[in-house]
Amino acid sequence: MTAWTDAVDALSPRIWLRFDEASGNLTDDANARVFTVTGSPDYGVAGATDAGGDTNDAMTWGADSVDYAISALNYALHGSSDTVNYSLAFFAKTATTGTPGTDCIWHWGATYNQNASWMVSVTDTQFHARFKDVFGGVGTVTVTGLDFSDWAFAVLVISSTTAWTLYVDGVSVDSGTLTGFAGISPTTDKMCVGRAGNTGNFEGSLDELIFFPSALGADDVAGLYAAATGNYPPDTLPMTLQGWLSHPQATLPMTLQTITAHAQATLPMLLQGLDPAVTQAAVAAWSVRVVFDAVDISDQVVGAVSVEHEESSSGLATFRIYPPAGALDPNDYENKSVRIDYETRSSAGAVTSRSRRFTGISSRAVFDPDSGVLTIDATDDLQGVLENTPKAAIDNVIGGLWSEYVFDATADGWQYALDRLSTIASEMHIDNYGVLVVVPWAAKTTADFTLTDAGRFEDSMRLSRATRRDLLTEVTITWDFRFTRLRHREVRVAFRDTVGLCNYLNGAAEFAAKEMVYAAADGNPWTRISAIDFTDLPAAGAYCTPVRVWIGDPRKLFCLAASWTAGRRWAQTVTEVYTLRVYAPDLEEAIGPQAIAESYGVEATYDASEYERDTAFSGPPTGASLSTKSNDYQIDATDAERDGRTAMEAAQECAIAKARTTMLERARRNRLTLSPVFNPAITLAATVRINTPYLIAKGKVYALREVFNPVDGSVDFEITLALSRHGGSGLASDTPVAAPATPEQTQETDTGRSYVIETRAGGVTGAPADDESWDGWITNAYGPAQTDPTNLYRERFKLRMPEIEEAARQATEVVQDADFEVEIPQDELTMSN
Amino acid sequence: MITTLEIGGWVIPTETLLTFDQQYRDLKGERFARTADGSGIVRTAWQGKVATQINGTGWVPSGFENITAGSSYLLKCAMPRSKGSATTTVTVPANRRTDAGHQPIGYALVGDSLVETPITNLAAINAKTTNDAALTAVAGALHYRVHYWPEITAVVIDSECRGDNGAEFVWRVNLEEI
Repeated sequence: MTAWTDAVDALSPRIWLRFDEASGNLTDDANARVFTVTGSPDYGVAGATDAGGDTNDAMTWGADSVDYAISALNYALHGSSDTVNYSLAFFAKTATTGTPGTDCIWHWGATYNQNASWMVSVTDTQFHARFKDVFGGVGTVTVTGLDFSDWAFAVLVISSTTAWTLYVDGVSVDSGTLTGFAGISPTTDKMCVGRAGNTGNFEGSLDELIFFPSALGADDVAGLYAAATGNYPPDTLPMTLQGWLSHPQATLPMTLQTITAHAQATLPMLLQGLDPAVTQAAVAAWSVRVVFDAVDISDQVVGAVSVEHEESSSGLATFRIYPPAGALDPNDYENKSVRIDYETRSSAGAVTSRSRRFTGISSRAVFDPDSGVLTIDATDDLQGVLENTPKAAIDNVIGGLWSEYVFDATADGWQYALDRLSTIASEMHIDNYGVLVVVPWAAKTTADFTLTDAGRFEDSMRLSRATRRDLLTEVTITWDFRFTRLRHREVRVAFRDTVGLCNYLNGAAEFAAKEMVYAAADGNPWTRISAIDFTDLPAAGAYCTPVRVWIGDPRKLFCLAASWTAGRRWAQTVTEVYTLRVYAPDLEEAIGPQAIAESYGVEATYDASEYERDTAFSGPPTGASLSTKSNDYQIDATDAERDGRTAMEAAQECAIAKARTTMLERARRNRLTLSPVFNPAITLAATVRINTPYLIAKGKVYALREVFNPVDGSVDFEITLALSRHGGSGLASDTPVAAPATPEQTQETDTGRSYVIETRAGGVTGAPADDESWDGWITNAYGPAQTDPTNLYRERFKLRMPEIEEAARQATEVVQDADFEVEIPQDELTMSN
Repeated sequence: MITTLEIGGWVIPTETLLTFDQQYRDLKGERFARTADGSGIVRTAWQGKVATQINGTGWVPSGFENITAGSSYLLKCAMPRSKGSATTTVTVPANRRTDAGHQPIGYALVGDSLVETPITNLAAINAKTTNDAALTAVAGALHYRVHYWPEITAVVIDSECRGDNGAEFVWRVNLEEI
């Protein structure tokens, strides 16, 4: 859509030829009717405007007498009567003098019958229209002194049957009254563009020919011209401001364009709305307007019309009508649009202003056969609207917080909106114009309206205070966050040389073969993640004292010592237990503790089995860091989008916000109800201050009820304010809603990260008996050093790596507490006697 | 001058009756209330309608059996009402009789007396091409007024007729303007 198409569509065209076809027949963009093209007009010529997205296309109709487009209509262009209002708009360009009344741009009537026809033609300097009825009556419009030698935008408006106004380029150039015009039959069967009857043809270019079944106003025409060309009429500043300025988010962007600006020019502006001098006057006339299914049925309404609005609830309206005589089906009166307006009237009875009170749909119609009255209930259908609103859209409109760990993820849009709303100190409603709005609870610093005793009716004020049971001073939230901690421990394993080369050479023990070391290092649950650093035997030579000849280990099969790094991975379940205290000290100071408890939990899903099975690693897992608490590398599996730490912390904030909002809501259950003199500007979004000798209060409107009763002329208006009160000293201040810090990990006992094995030699007098639980290099003395052949050990290189201690392996729990202070607003409320 | 009462074409010459009276009561959707400081507030949804009660006695029955309660009729009233003005132009309601004997009559208030003064555009007034009656100025007039006989479309609310052995019939009819 573009500004041009929007502007045209807004005026409900009946026929709209854009002339943007590349070839063949023309399609009516208003209703897809086909206009059959005869002859050979030029397609795709430069047009008057491309504002409508037709790539600047237009068509040129040649002198060839057979260039025209025609369509069968067989129906009235406007309802069942031809004696109402019409407008024809088009861009035209022609350099020919032509024949006024013959060389037609637009012709409606029987193809070859000049009776019962309407014809519009332009020449280079003249506009001509002829309206001829079947009886020969003819009304004509002739305006000369124009310039169609280049594109010009002509709009002919026929109103009240005989009054006509011609606009060229958005400006009224002439007007008058048709004489002899009696209209034509609505069943006339042809409409033709570019030709009239079988004679004169239009020679020139056409673009954007539109028939409107209404009499356009000057502002409509100026708007069309501006939308099409970007220019406003050169000598006027048409301004029509229509909208819902009572909407709290309403803006009024205005661009004032002039062709020239006189140095002394001024632009006096008056923004007119509901005038309090009228609505609040001691003597005022009013009426109520009910538009049902887009039809004003005010004249059918009997009795009172009531409208009710309340925070976060559907607005309701009820009215009664005398339906037209004949068969009646209440179903026909349900699910129809309903608009109710309050109108002020002058003493002469003219409507001077209008204020929308309700926009919604009829929900139920009940017929009373005795009285013949149909009672229609209507709702703005807040719940239905939200049930059918995508959650993403609700997010944008409502705001607030939401988490599947706090709320029901399967809830419908209505519940979803309520859930989000329960985390912010705001209410939602559909305003009088049918727009969903979210309004903060907080009373504005400066009230929108102040009511004194002069502005309210006597004996109408009632104050109900929240009871202690209504109030809530503290919400304790217990929150568990369970996740998997991936741990990785590295231990430096050392096979230490405790024998010494000379003792080896003297037979104290056999040398350990490297193969055996490898087998032991790689043959246990730990993963060797480094190369083994061997201490090789020395080169052949004479060593020790007394000298021992060493033949050497040229193939480096044996070692004196060795060391390497071994790693072990496992998963540990960690539960963070948070205790979040959301409390309102001011309120508690006044009424004592009124506490409730809530609990939530999030478990970060992670399958650690693969992590624990994996032995093909060569270092810490990616992202892990060495913990000072455990002396292990570790990484918490909490990065899942849905249930990781970020989601958990967001959920915590959601729960905290919800608790805070609950306390705020309960604290504003003080209600002040009164009946002011009706002021249509007071809505649910308003802050109202009551200033009377015995009571002063200020609060946001919580509910309002309007009853317009034409029978007795009464306009009953009742508003209820919500007053937030705490009764304390008012020292509390809001703690920002933010997830508490992650609890600190418990310091684990350091079990060391090195493991040493040594050599044990048997066959030596005094050596302990062999023990299968030993690890290290288990060998025997040989030669003369073997002093006890009866106590030889089973030779082996055995490595028994240390087990992961229980404290590091088993589930662990850490706690964190946090307090969140809530500042309860203290709305103005003083009473005296 | 003979004035007649007509209800849906049923003509009753009031001069033939023993007694006759007609009361007018202005109807309106209007509420008066007081605010807490005592100020009066008036809210008017509509006004300008009229209810009327017509009573009469005579030697013959009323004949109201010819009209139906709950139905609407053109009521040509037999008792005049008046509209006033400080000037010689007096705007009279469009719903007025123009038949002979019931055409608007102009008056000027001079001192404490009403002095009849011609309506110069009486033809236009009777043709109802205008509702602004132009009265001939009268020296010393304090203000002017026009008496007119209402002609309204009204629904018959109820009616009754009672006779006695003295051959006197008492009747009453209540109507409200549609």
